[in-house]
Amino acid sequence: MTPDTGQACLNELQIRLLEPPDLGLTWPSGFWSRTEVLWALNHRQQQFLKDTGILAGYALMPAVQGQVTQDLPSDWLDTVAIAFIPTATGSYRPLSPIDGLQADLGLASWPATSGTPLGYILFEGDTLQFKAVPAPDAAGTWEHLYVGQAPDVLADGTPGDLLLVPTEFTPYVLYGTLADLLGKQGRGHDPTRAAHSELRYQEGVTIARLLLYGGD
Amino acid sequence: MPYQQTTLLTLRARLRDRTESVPFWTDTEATSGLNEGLKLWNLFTGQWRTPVSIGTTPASDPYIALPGPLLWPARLLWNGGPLVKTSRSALDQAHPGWQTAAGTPKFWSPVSLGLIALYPRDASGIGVLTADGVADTPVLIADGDYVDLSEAQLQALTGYGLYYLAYKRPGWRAFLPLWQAFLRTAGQQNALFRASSFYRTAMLGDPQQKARPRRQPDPPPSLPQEADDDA
Repeated sequence: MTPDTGQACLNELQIRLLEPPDLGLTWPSGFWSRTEVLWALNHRQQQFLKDTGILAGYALMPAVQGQVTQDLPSDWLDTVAIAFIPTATGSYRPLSPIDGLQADLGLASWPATSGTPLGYILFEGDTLQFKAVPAPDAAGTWEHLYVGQAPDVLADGTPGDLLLVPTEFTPYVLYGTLADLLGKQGRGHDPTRAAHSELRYQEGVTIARLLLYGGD
Repeated sequence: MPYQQTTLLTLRARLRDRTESVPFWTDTEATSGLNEGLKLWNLFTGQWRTPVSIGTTPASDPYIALPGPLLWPARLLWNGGPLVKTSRSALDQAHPGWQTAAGTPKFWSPVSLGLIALYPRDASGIGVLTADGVADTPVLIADGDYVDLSEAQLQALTGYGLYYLAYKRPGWRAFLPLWQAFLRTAGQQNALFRASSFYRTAMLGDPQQKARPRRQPDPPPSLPQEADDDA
């Protein structure tokens, strides 16, 4: 799975946008700056990883006994699954993704009691934290299956400055980038091409999810 | 027409043959377009496959990272026998505690493109896991580099290349049917993709026409005129 370099990606974008290709160094039309092109490319890569989960990994983190709020991995983008592993038994207990209402209806005393965690709540607290419902009453470990953030591409020729997505999916990240650049309100605004590029990005998300899950 | 080895030089010539105008692209751009078409073709159809032997499997971890050059696994074999493909949620539902169960592997589940789960874990530690899956797409660089594709596939590939090259120019929407033809040809080898909602959306036609419908409906097609024998 050979990835593509940042410079190669910017060069490709220059060709598609009728800018003189020079590995992304200059954008003489003035419609876009190098900084915003880089931002759009990195943003779309993160979005593609999150939308598809094609490079999900796993990490083990210690569980804080008796505490509802627990930490997520520092490079967390999205959760695929969480399991609790009590130290005493070593058996995995998968948690269900729920929200606050489900937790309140299912176990009204969950904020104040401890037990074997049954579910987890995302996005209802601080960033990079989740809530265990209920809090673990024993020492243990969290197994996180999650989508991690990709390091930002700098496109400065540094060795190892690569996109994280496999090269087969790079075209779709580039189409997503084109959708952002051409959708910008300005002299480079091209809503028709932007809409089509967004459709191409969705094509990549569809095929990635078909490969992983067998359905969209 | 049977599969044939077609070089990059021939593919670029076939691109030029598909337009009457002076080519509006450079050889470098044409090569990029063709390589992009090959990548997407491999994604949709799994054209290029390879078996990869992972060797002995660690018994302490339910997850196994797959090595390159595998893009994604289609089939896994344990000591030569096929494993049944399932999903992680199905394992959670049907086999609680599957992560720590040890024995002879019977099931496998994809976790991500390069990560799989085995159930049960290998208890012996001396088994051989073989992954049969899609390999990296060949990249055409030199004029003599070639791919082994049928005529229909070459037609779809050069059509996609032309769509890629036309993206940057005015009137690019006239080349959208070439992209649709590429998807249609790939869909013939991928029933899952053909059944997807995206496929139906992509085949609907030019979105610009849908966004700005004409005020007058298209006239009905005229009926063929019968020859007048008395004339």
